[in-house]
Amino acid sequence: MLAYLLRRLLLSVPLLFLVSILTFVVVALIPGDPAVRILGAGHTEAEYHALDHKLGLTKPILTQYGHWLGQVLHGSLGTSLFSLQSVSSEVNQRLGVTVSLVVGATLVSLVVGVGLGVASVVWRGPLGRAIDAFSWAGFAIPNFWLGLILVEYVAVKAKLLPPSGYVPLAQSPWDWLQSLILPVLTLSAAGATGIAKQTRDALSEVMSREFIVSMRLAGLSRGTILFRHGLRNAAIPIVTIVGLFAVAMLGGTILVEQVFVLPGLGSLAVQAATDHDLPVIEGVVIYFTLIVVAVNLIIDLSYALLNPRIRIAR
Amino acid sequence: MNGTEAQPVPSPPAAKLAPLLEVRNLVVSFHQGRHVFQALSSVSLQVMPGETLALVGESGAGKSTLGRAVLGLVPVSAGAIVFDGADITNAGHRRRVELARRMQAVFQDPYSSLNPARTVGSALSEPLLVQRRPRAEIGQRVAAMLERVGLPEDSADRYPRQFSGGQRQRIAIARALMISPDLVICDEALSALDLSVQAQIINLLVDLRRELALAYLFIAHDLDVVRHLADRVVVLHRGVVVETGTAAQVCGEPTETYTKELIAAAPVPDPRQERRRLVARASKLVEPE
Amino acid sequence: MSAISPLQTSGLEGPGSVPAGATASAKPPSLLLRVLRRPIGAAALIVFVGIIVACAAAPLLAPDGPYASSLLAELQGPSVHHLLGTDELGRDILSRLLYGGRPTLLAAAEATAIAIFLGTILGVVSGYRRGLTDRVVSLWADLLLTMPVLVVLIVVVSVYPSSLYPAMLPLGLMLSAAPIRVLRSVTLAVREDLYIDAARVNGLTHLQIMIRHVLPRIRGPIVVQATLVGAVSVLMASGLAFLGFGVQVPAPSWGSMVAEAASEYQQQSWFLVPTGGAIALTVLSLGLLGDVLRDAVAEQWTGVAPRRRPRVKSAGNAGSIAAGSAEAAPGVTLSVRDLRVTAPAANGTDLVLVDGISFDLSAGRTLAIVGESGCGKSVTARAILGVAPAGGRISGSARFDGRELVGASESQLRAVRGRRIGFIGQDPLTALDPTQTTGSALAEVVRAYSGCRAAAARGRALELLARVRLENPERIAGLYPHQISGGMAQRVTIARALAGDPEIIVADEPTTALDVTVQADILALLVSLQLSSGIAILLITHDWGVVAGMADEVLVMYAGQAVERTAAERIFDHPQHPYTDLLLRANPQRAPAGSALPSIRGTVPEPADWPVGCRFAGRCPLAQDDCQAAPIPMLAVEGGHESRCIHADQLQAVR
Repeated sequence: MLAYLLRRLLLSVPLLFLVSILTFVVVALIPGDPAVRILGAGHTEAEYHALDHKLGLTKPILTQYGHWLGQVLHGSLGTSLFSLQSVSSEVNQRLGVTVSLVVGATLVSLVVGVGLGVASVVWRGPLGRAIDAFSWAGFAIPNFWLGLILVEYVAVKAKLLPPSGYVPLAQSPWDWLQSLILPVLTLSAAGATGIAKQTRDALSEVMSREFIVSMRLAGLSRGTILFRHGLRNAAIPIVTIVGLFAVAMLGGTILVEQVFVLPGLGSLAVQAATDHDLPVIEGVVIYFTLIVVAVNLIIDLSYALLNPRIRIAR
Repeated sequence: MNGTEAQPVPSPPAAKLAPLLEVRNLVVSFHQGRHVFQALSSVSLQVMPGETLALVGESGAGKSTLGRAVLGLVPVSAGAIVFDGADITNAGHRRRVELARRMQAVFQDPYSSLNPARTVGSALSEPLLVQRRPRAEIGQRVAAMLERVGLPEDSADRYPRQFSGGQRQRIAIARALMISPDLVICDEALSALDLSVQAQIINLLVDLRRELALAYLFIAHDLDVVRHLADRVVVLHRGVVVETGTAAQVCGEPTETYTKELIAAAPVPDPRQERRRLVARASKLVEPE
Repeated sequence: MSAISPLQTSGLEGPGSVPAGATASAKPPSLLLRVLRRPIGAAALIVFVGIIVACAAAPLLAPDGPYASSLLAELQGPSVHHLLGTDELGRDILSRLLYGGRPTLLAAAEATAIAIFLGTILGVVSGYRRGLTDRVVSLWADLLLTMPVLVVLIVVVSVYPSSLYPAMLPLGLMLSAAPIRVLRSVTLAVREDLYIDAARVNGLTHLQIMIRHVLPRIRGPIVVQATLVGAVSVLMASGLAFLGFGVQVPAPSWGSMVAEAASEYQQQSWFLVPTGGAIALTVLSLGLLGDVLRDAVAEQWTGVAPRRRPRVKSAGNAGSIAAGSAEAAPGVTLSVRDLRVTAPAANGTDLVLVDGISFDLSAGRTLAIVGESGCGKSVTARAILGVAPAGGRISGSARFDGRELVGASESQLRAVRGRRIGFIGQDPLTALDPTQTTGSALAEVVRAYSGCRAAAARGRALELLARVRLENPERIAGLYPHQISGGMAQRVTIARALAGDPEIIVADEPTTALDVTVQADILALLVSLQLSSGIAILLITHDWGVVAGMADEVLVMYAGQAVERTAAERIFDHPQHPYTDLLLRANPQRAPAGSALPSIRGTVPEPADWPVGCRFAGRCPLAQDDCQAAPIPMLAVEGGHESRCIHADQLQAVR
């Protein structure tokens, strides 16, 4: 099993490189000129050339990438073209927000989704039909729209929770929590319903299999069969979909951070894209990719734990 | 006795019969990761024109692998497969198209051998399409073949799921016979069928054999069916030929230990005899696998 | 396999799960009709197509132009002039939605087309060819999945800020990863089907096979992926527009209208509703349409609307009291009278699967129930333990040890299942939890029966493994089902059936899936257990050889009914029912080699087609008019021999 995990880990490294190269190439194709944007209108030719040279933008693309790569291997992600802060520090400031959001939303989706899915199999009837009916609804409602509606009705009209802004955990845990509730709910709506549906489908399918019937015939109780055997066998597809939604929610943070004005990686990405701030874009992409890689590794680890065929060395 | 009335008349008596299909020292290996598994180890056999050769053995013996190797579905590691004098081992695509006219197959699972997304007519016309026959001719031959195997005329427009297992096997047989082959490889074609349906299909195979002068390479594990259908029998065990002979010899008076074990294990519908056998076996229960 | 079959979740149904009736029914209805037949399908189709058509025909349908503003009518709610109200510049929202839908939907269509095109080609080719191609494509898909989609899109869209379409190319590329994965796994499964082999034998090239066979077969999953990707594309396109990318103000687009609504919601909260609602409604209808399409496509080759959740539950008391509940004779362990099992058919009516089976089973003896597939013998075996097919009901009587099993509560039944009556199924490898070692499985039931502690249960598990003559029980106990052979797995299930020291073992085709030498060992094992412990065995089989070796008494079933019941010695030489007679004679062993076997013409009638009179009359060589006039009861022939034939005496003459 260790070999399996190491293999998965090793595969991630070239992936990171490839992703960074691809992003670099794409951004390099941008016709807009960062130097121009920094200087604004009314700059002189000389100023432009000086800045261009200083930012290293005159060098060919591959050299720029090589330079950047060298920096990365020394632990630095370069500096922002606009704020002149180091990319790493900019990103690190905002990492907490995004990670809180994604982790929170994943946990909520997981608990609510799996809970509802299992419940619908245990108590057959209206709950199951409701899940079937509403699973698409949860997915179809655009998260930015849901966020806006929650802001309007819960935060503004009912004044139950803050409509925007983020309070760091260190400052005040209670306020931190409050500032995250609505964003997390918004983000997890699609996940919860999707996971509920998949849990329901996977569990029902497992419960119709032959070995479940033979356990009933052997006199084991329904509860034991469902929770110990049913869930264990349905775990892999459930874990797969949780992983998929976790990654999707990472992308969703971009929109949610806009709606709730949260200073996270997503809003940094939007800002950097608008500014054509290449180092920051690269840094954000790298971090996002790292998070995706981490999530995939956790999923792979779960597969190995859950599936005896993988766990046992051939 | 040995189904002599079912034997077709072969080529002019003066000519010495050459085997239709000959397998010479065939070796087939599979790679599973680093592990190499030899499914067939130097297997040889012959099928004469118009003859039914049965290939028997238990699961894992390699009999299906042999059939699939002859059909070109599985790559051959060593040895040769010769059809009507020509070497067809690992034959290329064009060769396979030519061969399809002379060698066909019926597989075990009637539910998996027809594409559920395509009509019966489409399945039956496939062999002819590849041989580039005109559409009108295809339609006629499909209808004729359906009637020949005892299926209603309008079956061509229906989907496989509208037919029972036995009927689907008839369709599979019809498909194999569309281009009038010389050899049909039946890969456990009866194993998935009920006893009464099996009897119907056996009768159909016997009729067709007589009418069309077919040779069968009949892969099976049921010795009763084999004894009924086959002229000669080859017994396979873990990829090696254990015994060869006429059906009467192998099924009646086998010489090899393994063959005797096989026959001894096959239940006989005679309660007194069978009960005694089982009790005897129960009392000396051997260490298992 | 512990994982859910990719076939099922991706919308690919098995080809033979429900074999239909003997006579081919009429040509099935078209796909469109099947979709419209389902209410959700009809609604989703109408809404989705309606939205597309409406947006496409915006110049014709929209009440106003997209830029027609009126400063007097700002931010109004719905009214007669403006069905969906007006925005901050007094422009009609409905019109702007119709016009705004065009770039959004077109962009989504572009991305979806690219994703499905790439996904299908790469998925099918990699699943079909396997090997190096597969590894490369899978790595590529992994790479795509690792890319942070929205971030990349934002970057691209900042290059071409005024339009969404250029960003759709990378979106389609990145979204193709999921279809590649799914269609690859579906193709991997389909590739093992035998019609692919048949096509290869016929000399079709790989490309021809992929086009002619694989693609039509995986229509369902392709459609499902298309709707999923389409839904995500619509959300992505509108998300980008919401962030202000890809749209040039004042041109409308759904996402940007939501952003406008957001900035105006303090003055007019209604504005948010139609703008976001349009997106939600489109995605919802698309998703539901995809679900219905998947079901409708599957219906085409399984013949029934797939029952999505077949459930096995304890059948409730169907009401009828056991008919003729005579006192059981001494020594009789299990007494079954008039057992009847019904189950709902696809169209809602109730089908009778088992129609009044009666028998007695005594200690130390074996009763074999013989029949062909579909006669109801397996259903009977399970019904005794209170397990009926999905939604089915059991009625009649099954008395065991003085208590009535039919209609008993779940807890009463659990006291009997496994503990007093053990069960062995047909396929040993599917009878065990693939995620559980054999030792753990046995220990679990031991603990459930006796409540003993883990260590003691473990010890008993090893004892049981030894009792079924498994060499090296410690080693076997630590293995998973996929690591042991079929014969060994069957011994494990026998061990489980013995765990509670039962009085009866119900064996449902225990050797059908096994090799003949292993079969003999398993049967011998059962015989030795019976001899040593006096267990009664109810044996379900279709193999007359097994009957000959094991049975003391035989019950022959046909079309849900018992047609003959007698001692085993008698049935082989003196069958008293034409079906039994013909079935025995269909065995090639009894016929001269190469001759025509006596066969039964026709096929078994489906439960829906059972006639009033004798169910075998349509195929019977002895049938006469009185056979079909009225239901035939079981008639005593002589000395405990019963037959459901009124012309059995003619059998002697025929033979």
